[in-house]
Amino acid sequence: MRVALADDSTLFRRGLAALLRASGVDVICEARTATELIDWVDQDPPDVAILDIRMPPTFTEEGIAAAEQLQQTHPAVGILLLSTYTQTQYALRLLDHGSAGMGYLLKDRVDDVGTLRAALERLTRRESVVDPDIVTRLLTRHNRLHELNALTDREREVLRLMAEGRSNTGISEQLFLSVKTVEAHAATVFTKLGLHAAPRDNRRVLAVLSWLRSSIDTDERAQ
Amino acid sequence: MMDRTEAKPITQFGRGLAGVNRRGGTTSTRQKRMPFNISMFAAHVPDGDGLRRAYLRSAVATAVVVAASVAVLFPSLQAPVQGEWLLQRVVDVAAGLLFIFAAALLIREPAQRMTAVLLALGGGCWLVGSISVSLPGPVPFVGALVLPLFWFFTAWALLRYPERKVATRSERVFLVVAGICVGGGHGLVSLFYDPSWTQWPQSVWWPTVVADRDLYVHLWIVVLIVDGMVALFYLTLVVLRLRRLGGVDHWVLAPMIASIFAAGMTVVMRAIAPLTEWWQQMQSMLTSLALLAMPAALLAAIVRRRLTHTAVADIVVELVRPHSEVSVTANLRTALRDPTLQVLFWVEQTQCYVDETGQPAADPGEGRMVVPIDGAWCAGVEELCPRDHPVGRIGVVVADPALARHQGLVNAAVGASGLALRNARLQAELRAQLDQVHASRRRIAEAGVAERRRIERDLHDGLQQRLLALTLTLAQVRASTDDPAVLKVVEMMRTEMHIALQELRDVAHGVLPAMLAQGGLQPALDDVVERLPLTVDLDVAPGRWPPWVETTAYFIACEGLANVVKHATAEHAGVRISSSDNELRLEVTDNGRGGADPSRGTGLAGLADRARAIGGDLTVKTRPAGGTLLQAVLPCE
Repeated sequence: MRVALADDSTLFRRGLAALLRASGVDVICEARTATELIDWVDQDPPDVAILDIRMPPTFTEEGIAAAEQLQQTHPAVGILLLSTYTQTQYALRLLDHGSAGMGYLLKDRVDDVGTLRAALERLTRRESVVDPDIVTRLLTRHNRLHELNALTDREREVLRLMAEGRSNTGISEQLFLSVKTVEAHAATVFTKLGLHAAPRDNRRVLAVLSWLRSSIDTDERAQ
Repeated sequence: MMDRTEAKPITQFGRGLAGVNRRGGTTSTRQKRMPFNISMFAAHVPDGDGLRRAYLRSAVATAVVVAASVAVLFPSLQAPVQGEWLLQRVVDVAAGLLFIFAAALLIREPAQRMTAVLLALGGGCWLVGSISVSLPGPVPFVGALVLPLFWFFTAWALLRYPERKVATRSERVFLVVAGICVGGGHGLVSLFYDPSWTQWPQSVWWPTVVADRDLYVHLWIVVLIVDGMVALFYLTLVVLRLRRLGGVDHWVLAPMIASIFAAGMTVVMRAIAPLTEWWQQMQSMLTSLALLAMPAALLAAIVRRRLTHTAVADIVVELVRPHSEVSVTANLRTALRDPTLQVLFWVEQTQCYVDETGQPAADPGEGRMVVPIDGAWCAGVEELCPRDHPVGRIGVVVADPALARHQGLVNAAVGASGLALRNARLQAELRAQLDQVHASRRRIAEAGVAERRRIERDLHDGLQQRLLALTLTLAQVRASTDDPAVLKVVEMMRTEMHIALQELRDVAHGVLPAMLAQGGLQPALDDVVERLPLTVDLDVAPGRWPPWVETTAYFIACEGLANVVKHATAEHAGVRISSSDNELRLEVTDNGRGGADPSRGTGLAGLADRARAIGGDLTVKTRPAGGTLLQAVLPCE
């Protein structure tokens, strides 16, 4: 697997590159800025580009902007955004233009080589990756508590994994269920929650996250 | 008194004109001396005891005069008098008594004692002259000698009022001429008179030298003409005096001048009128009526003089309102009846005087009266505001020098204005200081926000990145060994590092949420709302605001929402942020039980402080529909 890396913190960048190489990943680029990374990707597209959200020059949203640009210019390149805080908005924004191959993880998580590699592999398979922390937070939010309580534990598990961006196959592997069963659970969840969108893997993560994030009021207002 | 005037040069008009530093005060070439000084005026104001004594004296004097008049009048009215003369007699006696009464009142006026004495002498002469006609012995002769002196004394008295002295040389010349003509002339003519020509009783003693009726009539005509000329002279002096006097005196003396003119004209008429008996009686009556008007006019003058002082009371009443330089000038002009009056204000910073418009003041010119406005006018104020205090020196009043005669009035009016101006100036200073405090408080608040951002960034981009890099290094260690002992330690370290990272993030978030600086209020509040155990409707207008406004709005919203969670027992809350007229409006609502009181507890009061620190405001009220409404308005400029 070939990976391009961009982070302004030299210590973190080098550490991550070393860790990736140790686990057999080919790190083709270690960029300090988003522009540097885009130049590299333009010349030699990797399988996945890993970007810090906060980078020079303004230390605000350079990573997101670069991710959006790469999504346009290199739709085949998987993108993993790293952040030091869980920000649902950023995750939604990232998935907004198409969630296939897009990922958002907390930096804390990447010191677990297994998790990191699994995420990268999911991205190369055009799945999405949403940090479990974000999903947990959304699931414990008060505004959808009533509807979520109508789900069975199993259904809630399926919902969680859908929100994390996993495919039905991925969910079935996680929960040791058959793909058919997972599909059935997913359909039930969608019905119970009143989600009308067809539960296709690609778009459903965005639908689920948006639904979790919105409140009943805004939902009703939208209708 | 004089040494104060000499020792304390007060006015320097404009820097260029005076060239004197007030504190240094060394190299003056055109230094102006104050022509007037407060203490000069104050010397004439009687103290409490003096005032009581003056009232007692005038009361006694009035009683004595009235008793004496009644005693004299009683037998005179008993005497046989022809019918047509009775009315004349009553009018004459009333005029004389009124003169004495006016004198009794006048004696209470500051420094008018001599004038009052002259007036009383005049009234006495008139009374004696009028009554003597019906009395036996030498009394009618004495009366004939004394009666003309009435004119002399009265003219003298009126020339002294209200100036306290006969001011000009021509006035002094007049007094000498009038004394000789009126006193001497009439006495001389009476030596050629024989009482038997009229209906006087035989018992009357008269020192007749030559009893020649033709001679007497001719002499009498001469005397009348001289009287007329003297009267004309007097009226001329009165006109000149009127032109010399200022606005206040005009107003005060108007009724008196009118009555003087009437009386004077009767004397002039006497000189040019035919000598028929009817005309003589008519003229005599007119004169008496005019004279009756004169003390009445004097009384009116005294009252009017007092009235001008009440204008000062109006200024004092105005004190309760905020005062501007312009309104004080207008008040002073009205109170002192001097439209040319100017108030010049001392500016401490530039060390010069300016007029109401703030322009440096020109030299007031020669002959203008300059009165300082400062702390010394009102007793007890000086201790509060000593002269060298910037507020102690307010400015000067430049006025018509004619006002110098109304020391008490000027004293009171300028004193009251001084208080008003001090009041205005203190208010202005307070306002300026308050503005400064507000500005500095806001600067501090802004600096605080900037500092928070710096600290947050340092934590986030410095310390946190190092810790994260360390976790990666640790991961490499873990990947490079199979030793269970090492793996155990590494795992422990990893757990600790993650706790440390979380704590670090909590600290940084408390200092300033990174999302606020990066994405503004919408994402930052999204983040907050997501963690709350209730449904929050968040409505943030698009766009960004200045950092200190966003930060303040963020903390107010957070604290407001925390209050809702803690106290309101609400199921729903709403945060609404809108932008209008260069200000941010923030509303936090809930459907809870309401009853929040900012005066109790420090939470809401602290929020109000935060809002006010950047010049905004915050209110909390219970909504009629239920729940609480917290509103904040934060200016963005």
